[in-house]
Amino acid sequence: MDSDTKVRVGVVGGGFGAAFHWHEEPNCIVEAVADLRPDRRQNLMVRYKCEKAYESLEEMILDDRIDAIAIFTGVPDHVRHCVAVMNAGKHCICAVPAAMTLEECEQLIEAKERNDRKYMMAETSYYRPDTITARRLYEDGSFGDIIYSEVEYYHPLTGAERDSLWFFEGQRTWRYGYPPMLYPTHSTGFLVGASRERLVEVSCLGFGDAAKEPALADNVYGNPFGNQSALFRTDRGHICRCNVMWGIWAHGERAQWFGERMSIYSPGCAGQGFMIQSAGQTPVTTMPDYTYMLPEAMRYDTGHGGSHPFLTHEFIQAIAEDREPTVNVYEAVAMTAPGIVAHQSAFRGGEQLKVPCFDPR
Amino acid sequence: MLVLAATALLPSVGSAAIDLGDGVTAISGDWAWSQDFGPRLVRRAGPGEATAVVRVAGEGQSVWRCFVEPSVGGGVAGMVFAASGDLSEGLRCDVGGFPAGGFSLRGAGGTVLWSDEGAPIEVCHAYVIEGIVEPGRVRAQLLDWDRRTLLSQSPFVAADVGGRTMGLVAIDAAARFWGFETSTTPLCELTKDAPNLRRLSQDPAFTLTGGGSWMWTDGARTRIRQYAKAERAWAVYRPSRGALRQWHSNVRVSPGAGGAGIVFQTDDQDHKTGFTCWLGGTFGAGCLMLYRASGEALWASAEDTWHYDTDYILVGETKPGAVRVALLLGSDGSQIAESPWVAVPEEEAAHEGFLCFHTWLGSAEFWAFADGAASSAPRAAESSLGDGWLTFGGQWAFRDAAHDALVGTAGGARAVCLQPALSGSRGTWRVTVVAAEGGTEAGLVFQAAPDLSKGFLATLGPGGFALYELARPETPRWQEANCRWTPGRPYTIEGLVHTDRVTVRLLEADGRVLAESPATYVTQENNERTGHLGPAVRGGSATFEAWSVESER
Repeated sequence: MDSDTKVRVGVVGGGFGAAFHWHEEPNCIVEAVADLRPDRRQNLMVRYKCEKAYESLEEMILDDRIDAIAIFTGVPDHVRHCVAVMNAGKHCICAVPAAMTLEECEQLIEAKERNDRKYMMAETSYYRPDTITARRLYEDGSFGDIIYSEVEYYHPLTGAERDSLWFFEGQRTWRYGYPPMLYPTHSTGFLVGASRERLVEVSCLGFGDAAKEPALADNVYGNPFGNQSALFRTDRGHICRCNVMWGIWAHGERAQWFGERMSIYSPGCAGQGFMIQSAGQTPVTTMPDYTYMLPEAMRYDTGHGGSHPFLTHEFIQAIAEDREPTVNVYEAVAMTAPGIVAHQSAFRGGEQLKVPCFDPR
Repeated sequence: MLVLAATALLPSVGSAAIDLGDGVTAISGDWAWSQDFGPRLVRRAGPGEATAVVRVAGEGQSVWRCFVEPSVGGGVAGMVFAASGDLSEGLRCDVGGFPAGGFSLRGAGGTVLWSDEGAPIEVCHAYVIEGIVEPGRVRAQLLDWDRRTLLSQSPFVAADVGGRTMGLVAIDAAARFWGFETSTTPLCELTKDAPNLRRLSQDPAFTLTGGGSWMWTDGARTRIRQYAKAERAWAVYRPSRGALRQWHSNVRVSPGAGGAGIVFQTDDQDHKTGFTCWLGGTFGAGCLMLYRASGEALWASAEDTWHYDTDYILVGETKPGAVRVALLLGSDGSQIAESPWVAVPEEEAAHEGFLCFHTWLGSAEFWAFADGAASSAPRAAESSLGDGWLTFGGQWAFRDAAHDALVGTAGGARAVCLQPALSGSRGTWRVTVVAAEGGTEAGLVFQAAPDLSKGFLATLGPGGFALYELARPETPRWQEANCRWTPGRPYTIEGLVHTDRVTVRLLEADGRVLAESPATYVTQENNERTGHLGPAVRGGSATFEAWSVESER
């Protein structure tokens, strides 16, 4: 891409939003930052070496110099913020998940299509090196069909971490009692991001013990579950076991893809190593390094499996090249909606439910 | 002069050719474009050979290059260059085809002109392959995706080619290709120190297991490094076999690696025996750990004991019925952490094995192990006997109040008592020894470094009379197994250090020479290096007296 092409971005959300690399992307200029909290606003200004700051997203949207906005606000605000940004004629990238309800999924797609803007979900699993590998080997035909997959996201919310995420100045944050399956994309992204399969049916079970975790008895979501496990069928008839759990002592985001001709295992918190196993071949245990795909200034390890620079680079390049980003609105909803339906299934004791398809006809 | 001719392997451009756009024409096989931060030409998985012709951009016709990213399956993927329009004539450089990967220069039809079977080709890793054509000769080289790091390089091979076409080929494998270009300047000039000449897989001193890419870091061959981001990799140093002694290696762990260390007294197959001295725990800020090589944790220091990109010395040591490890700072040898002696079964501590280097989830570099592979170096004195004598293991005492004789007793591990005041370089080093019955080995350490990492050792024992370098105290430089001597009688051991050479002699009390080694050539470093004298004992007790250093005039 010609380095003279510049995409001017605004970044909103000085927590997770400060973990990206907009200032190092060759085709990007950080035009402004925004956060309701002064300390986080300052954090963004320092991080991105940006002197222009707004006190809200609503103010930032009015800035005509901004081409795109990176939204790292709380989940309940995602769709409202994304729709507002696209209605203002700007592209947007947003933290996960894309939405909390099926209705919100429709609103998001409608806003994207009506405004003809780029939408990207910053799903980190898509650019973890193990997922990139699975996607490559699926794409080049080495994998065959992925018959069965196990995808999981474990984040134990106990002790000080629970308190820091669930409370701010004594008030409950949006995370307080948040349902695991309404945060499914760190799991579902492993399969959708590898094969672009759609998860079309689900049976999900949930577990929560309000006697041990009072948030499960009293939260704005009416959520009694701290741990949920779903079994999906895909549009190609394959099987995917998907876990999202806050209440177990395990940590990390990983997958195991079992295919016709090979299987791939992500590294795990229990010391499991990365491995590709295929018939007649010595197992591959070296995790491929895809940082070569990044501009030189962005080639370093980051959080979420090194995915942040990839997400940054992909969003800017998609705008600069006027193409749809990889995790576009349809892929984002394909990762998000199955969790929404899974959560409904958990309330019905694991009843098998259909997941609607939001892809363009 | 080799003239490359057409073969049956590559088909002609025929009716099946498909224009894939962007200057690429598929001749055979299943090809498609993919977008991945730029266009990539994918040869999809399938049996047999797939070929495509590429229109190249760039200057000149002397240097041809492209990126290739091999997929799984062990097939071959490469570039045909300086080829005829139908690819029937020309040259080919490709990756794959060998157990470790491999990089080859071939005729267009596959005839091998040169190959590096040990080139470590990783799945889904991007490489640059380059062919360099000069009048009457050609060479090929393989670089990492950064276009700077040379991975393999052929010499010039006689060949006569002049075609102007580039092609791509993938055999029994999927692969990605991009960045097709010609140039007048290669990315790397021909070098005498190419990595393919430094691979440990080609060095009989090492046995490699697990993943990884082990190499000497440069032509000096003093440091080895595991370069790959491999899950686990082991390199067994075969000259190091032994037990009941100290082992060491310097180590530097690269950022991102999960850990690195040495396994000592281990086997060369699955490394289930012996002990591991390991920098583990928190990545980059973890602890020194002692494991059984089978995986059982025996001891660990506090976290935040070691860090990335810092030089350390790992020390592992066994004595009868016990094992311990230590971590020293590489810059000054100061001790950072040390385990206590951990009790283990006698037979386990005495189990002979090799020194092995081990990495987990990343890269690390090891050096100064040729000494440590079988030495007691570097070794800190455990106590001072008095009169300046420093003891290294065993029990030492003056025979009487005159302090002109020492009595040393030791078990299976050799013990030394060093006198720093007795120093010198070239000259004659001498001690008189009376060894007890029962298999005692008694000897003279001479021109020895204060930590016993350098210098020499002459021993009289069940194996006869022998000369060792302290850097390899289990491998004699010279040995006279038939030397007849009698326990309980006095003998004089002499070490003679000359320019570039060392000789040892064993003399009766009357001066008669019982045994004498030939002049043994050693590193010229010893010509000027100042060292010290000390008696040594193993497997019993011995009395030493009449020690002296007579410097060469």
